[in-house]
Amino acid sequence: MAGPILHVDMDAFFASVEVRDDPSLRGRPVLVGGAGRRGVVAAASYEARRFGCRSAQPMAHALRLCPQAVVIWPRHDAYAAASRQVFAIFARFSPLVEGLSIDEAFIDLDGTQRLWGPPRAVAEAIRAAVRAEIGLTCSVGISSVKFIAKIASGMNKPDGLTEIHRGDELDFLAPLPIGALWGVGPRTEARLLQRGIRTVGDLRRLGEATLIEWFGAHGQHLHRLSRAQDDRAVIPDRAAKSISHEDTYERDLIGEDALRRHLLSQATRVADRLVAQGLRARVVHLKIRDSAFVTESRQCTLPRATDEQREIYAAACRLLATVETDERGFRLTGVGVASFESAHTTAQLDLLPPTPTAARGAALQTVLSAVRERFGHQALFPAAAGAERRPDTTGAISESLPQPHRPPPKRP
Amino acid sequence: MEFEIDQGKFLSALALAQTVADKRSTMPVLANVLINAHKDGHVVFSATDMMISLTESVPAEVKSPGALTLAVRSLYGVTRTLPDRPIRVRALDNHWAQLTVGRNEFKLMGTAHSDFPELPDPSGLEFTAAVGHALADLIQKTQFSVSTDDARVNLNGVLFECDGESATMVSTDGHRLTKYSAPFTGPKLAKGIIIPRKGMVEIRKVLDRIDGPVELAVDGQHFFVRAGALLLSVKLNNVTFPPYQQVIPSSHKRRVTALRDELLGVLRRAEVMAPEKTATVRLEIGDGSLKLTADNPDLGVAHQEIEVDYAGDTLVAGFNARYLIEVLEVIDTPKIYLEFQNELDPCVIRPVEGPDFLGVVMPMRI
Repeated sequence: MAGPILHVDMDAFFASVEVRDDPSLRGRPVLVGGAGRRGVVAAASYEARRFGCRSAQPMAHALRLCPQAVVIWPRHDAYAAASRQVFAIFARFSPLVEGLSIDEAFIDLDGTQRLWGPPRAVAEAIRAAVRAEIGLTCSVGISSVKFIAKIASGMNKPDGLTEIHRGDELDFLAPLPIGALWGVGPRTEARLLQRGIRTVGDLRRLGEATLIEWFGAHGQHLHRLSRAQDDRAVIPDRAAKSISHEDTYERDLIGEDALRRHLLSQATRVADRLVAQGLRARVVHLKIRDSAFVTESRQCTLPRATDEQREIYAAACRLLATVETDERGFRLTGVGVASFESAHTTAQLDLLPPTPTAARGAALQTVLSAVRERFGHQALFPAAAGAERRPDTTGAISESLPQPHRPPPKRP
Repeated sequence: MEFEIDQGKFLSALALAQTVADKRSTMPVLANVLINAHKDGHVVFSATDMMISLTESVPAEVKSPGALTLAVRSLYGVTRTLPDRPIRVRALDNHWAQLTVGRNEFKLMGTAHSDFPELPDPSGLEFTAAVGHALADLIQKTQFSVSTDDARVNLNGVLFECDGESATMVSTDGHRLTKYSAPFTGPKLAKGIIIPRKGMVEIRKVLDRIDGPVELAVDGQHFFVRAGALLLSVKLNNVTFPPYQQVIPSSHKRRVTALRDELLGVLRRAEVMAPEKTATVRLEIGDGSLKLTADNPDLGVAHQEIEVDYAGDTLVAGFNARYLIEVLEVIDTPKIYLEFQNELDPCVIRPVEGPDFLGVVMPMRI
């Protein structure tokens, strides 16, 4: 079994950053997310959660539960900055940090005892540093088993610390509802509940053979989890496998022209992020969902890796051409790239330039991305993306928004 | 519509139609084959993906003329399993078709023949007789370096030039170029045409089936190949091929003479050990020798050396092994030249004596 593992989870991360930056929000229910008709809650402060608001809820639904909530447009650059600071603190204590998302991570403390003392002391030190240096709170779970550390961090939220000592794992798990296990989704949960299995203890008593009979290979996995067996290691620096940008639109997009305008905007953002990370991608991916919630995706492989908006956009348009767009409205589009290559690998030289203006294209992309990185998307954006480049969208990812706040919308 | 047709002939017509029909088009009818039975005792099979169109006329015992379209994949699937006996095909109501062999009967759902798009018509064009295998040879020697990048339409096909007595085909994907000229009687063309990649493949398939002479014709839009009862039309890429003469080096500083089989052997072995994505190999020429190194951090290293005819200073350059292999594979003379300028300049590969063929390959920066 590996050394002690911490799971650190920031408390209501986006909402907490907003409250930190605007003290007038303190003590009030805060919802971060798109305010429009199809907006989704990205984070809810604990005050808002008391009313039943949750992240991933439709904003309209959350506002019915809590009409007095303050709605704040997401500022991803602020969250990204706070996240970088938080991860920098984690890195002081162990080189083995595995980020799960922008606001949670596993930290493997194997071999750090002599330097930092027992895991509880490290957890306290991290919590103190995050509070003092960043002004945010987090909750920490400690266990020698990865998935138990994650469950533990959620036990005493917010601002909590839960340690499950070695040997106590089974007793800790036994009374938990089965849905708490990583790997028990709504469907597995329903099937178990139907058979009267409510807790992890019930699951353990069921035995491996029965679980395999019911769920196949997944049953074996469930059995191992119920016995606190999880040999997954903390894998640091899990590099992103894809970069994508998706938007859900307030009003359905109709016609290829409108779709192309939004794809241009999304391709531009994806290209900027490739440039920022020094990556080039071979695969371009298009995702599109119509008003009837039918989702289609298409992807293609480019002959050479690129970080240029023009090439990504052109590929997205070729993919769009294979989608039946007549007599359909679309509520979501997304452009993604994958299959990365570093921008500095051995290069096959060209006999003919890829396009007459290839060298200029690469230089242009570098300059455009640099300008947007520094001054935001308002500064320099393809005119062909139109004025629609952001209004009306909930913006699944909309980093680098230049203005600090959007006024909260009038509440019904 | 009703006719009786030999199973073998039916299957062979469907096999060809099947390779042309487009099963993934937004136009569902393109996945179908048009079957048109004529009074004078033959049945015409047509398939198209709107870029390539194929019609083949097959003799059959036509009881009553008529036409309909059927999904070619399932029709081919059914026909393939049938015994080698006459098949009776009969149209039923609502575009259903019935296939009967002995006491076996299949009913297949079709569509009206009027849904099928109109195919390019070469009537009025003058066809020129050509030697089928000479055309197949031109295609085979240049096909491999056609670009697969859909964004570079002008490289997505092979350039075909013909003055009536000889023909030249050129293909390039931007990293390498292949050019082959050979004596060829064919249509006299005022300027080169670009035959798209998929069209070349289809032309080769047709030529492989034909023993006898073929006839060719070109109008502004299409390249037509007629062989007996078979007509293939390929829509031309209506773009300008890059000025390829400019990138073929006119001189060289260093010339290596090597045995084709030996060089191909070391390259194939090196490719196995080369990094998978780039296939980079390091090539070093020195007095009398050519050294090849492939280094893959995940696998290991391969050093190989062959004797060559070369006297001069040492040159080291990186190459995609695949590019060199593919050129050598289509050269069928025992000795070849490798011509170099400097390590970042294109390398020209050509047979020492024999056909007017050359491959230009750009090196890699290593």
